[in-house]
Amino acid sequence: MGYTESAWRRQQRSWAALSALHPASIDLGRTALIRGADVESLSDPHRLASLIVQLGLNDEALDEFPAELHAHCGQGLRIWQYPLQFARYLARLSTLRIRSYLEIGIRHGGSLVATVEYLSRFHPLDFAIGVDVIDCPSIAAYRDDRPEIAFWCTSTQSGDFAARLDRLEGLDLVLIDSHHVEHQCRRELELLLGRASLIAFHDVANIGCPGVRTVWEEVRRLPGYECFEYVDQYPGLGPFMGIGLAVTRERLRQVDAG
Amino acid sequence: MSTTVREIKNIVAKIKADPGLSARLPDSADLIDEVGLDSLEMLQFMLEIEASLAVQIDFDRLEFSTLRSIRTLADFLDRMPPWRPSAP
Repeated sequence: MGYTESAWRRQQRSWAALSALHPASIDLGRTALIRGADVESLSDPHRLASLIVQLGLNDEALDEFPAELHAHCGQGLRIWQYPLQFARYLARLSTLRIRSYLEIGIRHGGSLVATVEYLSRFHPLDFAIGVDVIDCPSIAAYRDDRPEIAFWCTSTQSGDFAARLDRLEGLDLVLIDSHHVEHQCRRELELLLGRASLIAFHDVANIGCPGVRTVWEEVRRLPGYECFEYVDQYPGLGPFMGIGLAVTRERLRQVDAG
Repeated sequence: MSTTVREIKNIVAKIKADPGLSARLPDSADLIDEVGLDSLEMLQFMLEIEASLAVQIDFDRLEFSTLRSIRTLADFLDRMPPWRPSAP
């Protein structure tokens, strides 16, 4: 099917919300806040949400953020997450002994960096990979500090991406946060089912991303997975964002068995 | 042929991996129906345009009809402000 005017309208709306197509640099110095925090406070979603605010939030689509957070937007790691959702999600991940991470759709790289730093406080990561069709210069700088990080500038719809996945030796967690279109989201899920024991989606509650919600509902019906949702909202907004996490029951059994 | 028109054709040829395409495209070529850019290629195209022409595209004002002719798109791009990277 060809590119249609309605497809353009959706794309145009998304791009118009961005300050620029190319990602901005992020302040990697803010990672010190995670490295310096005690594990007890990192495990507490309430205190972790406050820390995420201090890490810095994105300022694109600013109307999706409550006014009280605007002073923290457009700085630091430029994390494009709701702190109260992201904190509960990360706190859950901290219990799952994650050793490898793939994030699809990283934009400025803030969520990737925050997730890597956070998980590393609980269990060493063998590797983490960011994927995006747009180059992300901040990740190149981050690699100077963390050589276990890689960036793949490629499309998940390409043979190149599938070939790179085939070369990976095991994969624990994937976060899908890319094109937010149903068919692409489903294609990414199909590629990653059976490879990753934890599959997360961003924007499962976002009113602007019905395709993501549709695919997430399909995941929730899959046998062999336990699903968790982090979709808390700020009063008077949205619903926006929302994280869905699917964990294989086998993985949960392994964690419970220690 | 304007510099912007030439650059648009070069970028289209690069994205479609067809080096001879830039010479075959008329200035009036339709980027949707004649070139056949899909949504992902359109993203790559816009990224390349911003980088090579050093402009920041105002997507609120870029209408679908503007993509129906390379010349019309070039006129639109010539009115765009210079691209400025944002600070961390």
